[in-house]
Amino acid sequence: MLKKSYKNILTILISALVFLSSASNVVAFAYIKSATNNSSAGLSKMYDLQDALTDSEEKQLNELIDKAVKKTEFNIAVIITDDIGTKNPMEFADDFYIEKFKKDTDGILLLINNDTKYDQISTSGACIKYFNDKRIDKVLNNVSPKIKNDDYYNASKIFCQQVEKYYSQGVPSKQYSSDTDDEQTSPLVIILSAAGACILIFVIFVLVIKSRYKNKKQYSTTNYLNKNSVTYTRKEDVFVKQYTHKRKIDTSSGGSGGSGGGRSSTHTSSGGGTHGGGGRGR
Amino acid sequence: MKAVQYKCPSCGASIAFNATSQSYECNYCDSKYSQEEIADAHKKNEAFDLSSDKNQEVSVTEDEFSQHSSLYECPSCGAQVITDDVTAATFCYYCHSPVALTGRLSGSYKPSKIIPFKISRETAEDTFLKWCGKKMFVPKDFKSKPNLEKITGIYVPYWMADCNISGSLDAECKKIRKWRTGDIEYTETKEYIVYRKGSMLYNGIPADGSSKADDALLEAIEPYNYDQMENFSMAYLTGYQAEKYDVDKDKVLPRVEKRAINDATREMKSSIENYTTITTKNSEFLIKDIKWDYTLLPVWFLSYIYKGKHYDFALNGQTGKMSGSLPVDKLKLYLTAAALGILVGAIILIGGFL
Repeated sequence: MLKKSYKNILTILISALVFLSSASNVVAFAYIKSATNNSSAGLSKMYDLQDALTDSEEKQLNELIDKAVKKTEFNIAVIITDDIGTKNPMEFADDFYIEKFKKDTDGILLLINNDTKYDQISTSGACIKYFNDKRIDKVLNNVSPKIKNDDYYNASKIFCQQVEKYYSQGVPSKQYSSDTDDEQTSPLVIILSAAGACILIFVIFVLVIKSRYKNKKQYSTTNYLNKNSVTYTRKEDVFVKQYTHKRKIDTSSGGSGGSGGGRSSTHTSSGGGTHGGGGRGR
Repeated sequence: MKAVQYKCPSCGASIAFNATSQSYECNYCDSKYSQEEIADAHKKNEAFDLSSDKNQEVSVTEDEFSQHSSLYECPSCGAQVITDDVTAATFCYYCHSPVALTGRLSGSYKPSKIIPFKISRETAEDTFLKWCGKKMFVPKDFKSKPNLEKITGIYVPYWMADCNISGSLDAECKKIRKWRTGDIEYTETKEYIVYRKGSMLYNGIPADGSSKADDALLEAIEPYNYDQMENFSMAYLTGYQAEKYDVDKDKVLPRVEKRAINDATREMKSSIENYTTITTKNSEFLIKDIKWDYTLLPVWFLSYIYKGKHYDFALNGQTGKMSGSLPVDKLKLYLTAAALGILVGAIILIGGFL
């Protein structure tokens, strides 16, 4: 039924689409695989830098953390400190993580900050995906009250439980990372621009072909003009008046902001790693 | 109606004008004759005998079936053939030998000049095929031989105008300068009134005198090279169709005037230089005198009907310039465009989500 040339074109198009989709699958798979590559295989620690916990509490928490680490294969750490130096909580948490574990390994860290009273969670590697902004919020909802009551033991315990809980829930669907330094490209924008480009190409193609199939360019009458015969009996340019206006140019700048739902906001720390997470004041 | 033929002086077969060689070639005995020789041999055809033709015309009208057709007798086969009232040269419907209807081009209908066909039928077919050859959305049977063979060579009656046009033009013009110091922008404007008055000549503005022909289609195959214009001789029409005019020069005058005035306005405006903005306030043009020449110009025509719509092509029989619009296989076009669009959209989707 279809002519031979149709069949050829159709075959080429279909194979191109199949190739593209399988290629993208392969690339996506490889990306996820590399993201979950965790070379430090789950270190844990309870870092009680201000000695707020008793030895037995510390020991119990270490065991709890170990358990969580074994289950999730994440690096998990809790820091209790009353001095974060000149850094801000986010910097402190990120740098601490990189110092103890390697940058961009899979892990999550809770900083109980008794210095500026702003607690911070820092995620790295695959944990960025597991703990999106919403989940970080929920964890803090559970942990912050305990911290406020100076119940660091239960705060850390609940923290570990939360980490295990969300690990078993898996990576949230529709999760995506977006660097807070960049502009956000939501999926909606991508779909719209793809659809827009599709329509644009269609219209342009049809119009171009239709115009090429016409050939009705009019021949200019100028060609019948005898140029030597052009004579002027009057040719004057009369000056009338002159005026000058001036106006002030103002420069203005604009800004834009964005907010997102199911995203994990990421940032690059001074140590070079990419971190997610969030913080909360007391 | 007196229908005549041009016969080979050697063997008596029908002879026709050959565009490639610009001479008359006999298909049967291979003899070649020049324009002068053929005209000499057919003095009777060339010198239209007005009085006898008039009688013929009168007697025939009584036999007419309708107002716009008439009858002639083919000199070769004797068949009685009906034709419309403008055809001056054609092929006998039955025996296909070329006939010239001398009465049609007599008196005030006698053309003063003619540009003989330079593009042969083969060349016309090739040019046409080349134009639509590469395009993949043209319906298949359009490019087929049977369709191409329908190309017809016709001498179209034209009115050529030589005119003297004079007029005047006033315009308000501004020279605008802008510059900036600090954060203040200055705009200096100088206003002028510009006067132009003059005249110019146009030679050979063509306007077709055939009501059937599409004026726009024919304007698009201009220009014709008037250097190759010859004095009219009936013999040139052999092998082609020809028509006498049915649109008088008064009727084509508005078209010619419009072209001349538009161009004269453009020419005068072009003499205004070095301004940032030019706004024409008044312009008046008049054609002072106009001289008309009635000429036959060669055109290759092809008509095609696709899905109820007419597609017409014209090819300049002297220069080979083409005009017309090709039919488009819409289904194929839309499918291909959609496929391309989807492909690009898919690439963006995948790229965006990676």
